[in-house]
Amino acid sequence: MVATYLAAKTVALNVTLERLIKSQQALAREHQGFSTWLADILGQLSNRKRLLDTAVSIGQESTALLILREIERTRGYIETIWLPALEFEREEHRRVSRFIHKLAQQIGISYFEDVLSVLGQSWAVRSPAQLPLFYVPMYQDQTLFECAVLYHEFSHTLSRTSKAVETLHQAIAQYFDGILSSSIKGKPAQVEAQRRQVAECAMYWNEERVEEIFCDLFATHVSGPAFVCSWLDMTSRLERKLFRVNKNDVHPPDGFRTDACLRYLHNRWDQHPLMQWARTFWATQRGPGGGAPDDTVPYHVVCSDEVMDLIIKKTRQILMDLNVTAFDDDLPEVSSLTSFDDCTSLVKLINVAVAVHLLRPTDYPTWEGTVLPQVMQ
Amino acid sequence: MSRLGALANKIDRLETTLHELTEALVRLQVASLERTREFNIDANDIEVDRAKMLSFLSSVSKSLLRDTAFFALTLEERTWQAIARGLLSNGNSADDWHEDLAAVIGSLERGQLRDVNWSTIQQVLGTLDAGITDDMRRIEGW
Repeated sequence: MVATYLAAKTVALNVTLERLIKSQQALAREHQGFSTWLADILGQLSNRKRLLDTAVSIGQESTALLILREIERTRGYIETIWLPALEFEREEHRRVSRFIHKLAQQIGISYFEDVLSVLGQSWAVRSPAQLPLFYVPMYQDQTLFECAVLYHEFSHTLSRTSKAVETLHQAIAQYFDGILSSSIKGKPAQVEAQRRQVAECAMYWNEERVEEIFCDLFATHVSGPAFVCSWLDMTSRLERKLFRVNKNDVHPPDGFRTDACLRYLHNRWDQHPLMQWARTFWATQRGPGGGAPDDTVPYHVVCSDEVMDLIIKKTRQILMDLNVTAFDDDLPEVSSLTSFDDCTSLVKLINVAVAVHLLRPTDYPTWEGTVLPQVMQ
Repeated sequence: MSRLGALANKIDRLETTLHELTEALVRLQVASLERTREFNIDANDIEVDRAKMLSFLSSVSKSLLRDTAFFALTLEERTWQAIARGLLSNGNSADDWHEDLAAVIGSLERGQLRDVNWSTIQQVLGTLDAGITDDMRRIEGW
């Protein structure tokens, strides 16, 4: 039975591989980097196909099935993600890609060889770090508002090129190890329960969640109020408990992320109405905090002030070691916001865009109409 | 801001590990049948594969018995720990797995490829593969 199945899959894979190679060879020349990378992946796929043939011919069906699953996963990526992104690219995609590339370069991310964009989805990134594919909302080429979210996505590519996330993860793990090795006092049953709780908290902070909070703080570091305000706006739209410790979500609680970003942010903008808006708005949104009663991991332990301070301090140090430049510009007074039209620094422009949108909303469409054509070319 | 970023990075890393190990597994299986010449496999490659597989299985085996209340692990150690947890969730005890792995490790160390219980290795790699699939489901919302 398995042998027949493997024989059928082998034949099908031959046909599919041929089709994929043809599509790759027909790709537009302007994406030479992606084309070369895909050719390399297809080469690896052909090698795995040969490995599959070998496993089949020596009668190792279980091994063959394992290889087949690997092949199908890679085929899936190419067929459903990379080739469609390249083949169905239109001018608006290219416009966004150019903008994203420039945005990254201006904050010192110089390793993108090329950029691809897919419109019509929530912000996300897939990569090899040097050749990232960004998912962005449908009208990203027509607005600057919320662009700051892209800085969070850039940080995911940084995670691939540095040990930043691993260093932060280690620091958090060591913190919980420290609690466990210290003497927890009480009756044996209480001590055991407490130890179990600390262990669960340590496991909660897995590499994915650590990476997500790192990306938030990176975005806050490089874009200042723009990211914090865009993030605040996003969380207000999500109908969920802001401080719930949800083990099925790869992100830490939204409330924790917001508090951490606000705490990370330099106080130089405290007197600016944009940050006053942010803090007042958050005060109305956050409620009492403290997680949900049915959380299996209690918020006050897993997301304690100590944990937040540790994450902030360590991230600041990591970014300093990596020479990541912090956004440090003054923001214009509210009265002069709409006369700001200097598009040299995109990060400053995005900060102004957020300020105009939130503080002078009726002026936003006209203002954006004057600056957008200069940056989205 | 979707679930893609951090999980995609993790999946790519684990897939690279799995690729290398399945490749080593097939070559070792070919060598155990003494058919390396037929498949054009170099004896030196077999030695590299044997060392790679030994290092991997030893790491998983150690993770099975490690005190789980210790979290400051390296990225690699966390991978082995996740595999160990996956193996234990399938019903067998840590001691059983440790014993099975010790037998395979012994055969590999002695270079007695004919005696290797391939099924044990396939199950360990299958656990790594299942972890990747789970993470992919979390991304794609399958």
